[in-house]
Amino acid sequence: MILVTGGMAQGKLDYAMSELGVTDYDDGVIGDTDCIYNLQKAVMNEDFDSRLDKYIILHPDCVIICDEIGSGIVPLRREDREWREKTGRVCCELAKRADAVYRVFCGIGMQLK
Amino acid sequence: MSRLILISGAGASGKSEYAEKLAVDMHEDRLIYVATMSAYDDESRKKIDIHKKRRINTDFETIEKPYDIEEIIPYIVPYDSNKRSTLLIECISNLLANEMYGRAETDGMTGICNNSKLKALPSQRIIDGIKAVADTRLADIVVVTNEVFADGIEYDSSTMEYIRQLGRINCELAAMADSVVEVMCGRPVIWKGQ
Repeated sequence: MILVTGGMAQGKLDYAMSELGVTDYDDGVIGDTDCIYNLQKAVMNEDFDSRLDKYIILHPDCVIICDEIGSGIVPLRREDREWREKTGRVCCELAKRADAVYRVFCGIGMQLK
Repeated sequence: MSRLILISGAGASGKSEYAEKLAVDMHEDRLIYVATMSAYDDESRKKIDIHKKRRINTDFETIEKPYDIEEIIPYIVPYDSNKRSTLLIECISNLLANEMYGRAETDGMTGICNNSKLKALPSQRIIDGIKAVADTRLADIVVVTNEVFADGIEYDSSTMEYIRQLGRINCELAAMADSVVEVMCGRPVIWKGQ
């Protein structure tokens, strides 16, 4: 499993397609392709943790792409804080489990793991 | 071949000082600061003054160009034709805001252009403009841009469009650039080149 992170509009999907062999992806949902794009849109869904766990077991060579969203002021609304916290924690857990982690910045990838 | 160096970083990360020092160290001929901020209120005037003060006692000349960046070309010719000028363009985030919201041809709310002369997207006009400047080989170019992509906030649609276009410019300029540097706490993280 490979985790790709970075801010929005940084070219993460293009990077995954040109450098990591991604050809098909599911956008914002856990699907049945070998890539989840915009994982941050799915983290608050029901049974997210167990579904993601199952997905990774079924797709050991998957690429998971998630926006980095924590570099701002703590949001006022509780739901936004929970989403931000959850997304960050999910990325930390995925990074531990991943074979490789990339951060994409201005379309350039840096391997963090 | 002239060099293109892209410098990015968060607000108050020290990217301007880093870029200024780099441009000063690089220059062999004219050293030109291309200022993109238009002074429209007290806060911007204050910011401009701080940056101006930092350039006192340096060799910087200043060109003010809030949009249509390619129009600087006639003003950047080096004194010695065997050498190149060094440009510091600061910064892309201002340039894009001016292209989108600050000119008569565009809708000040949405940034959308309704003038046929400006058919290309604001981001494309800036990418093409900087490429045109680089293609003259009159100058080495240090470009400062901004990191605004990772706060997870869903702003109004016009602002989201601004962020997407800024991201696109950064990706395209990074692809063209010889070096890409992210500055954090004044320290450089090298993403490309050296």
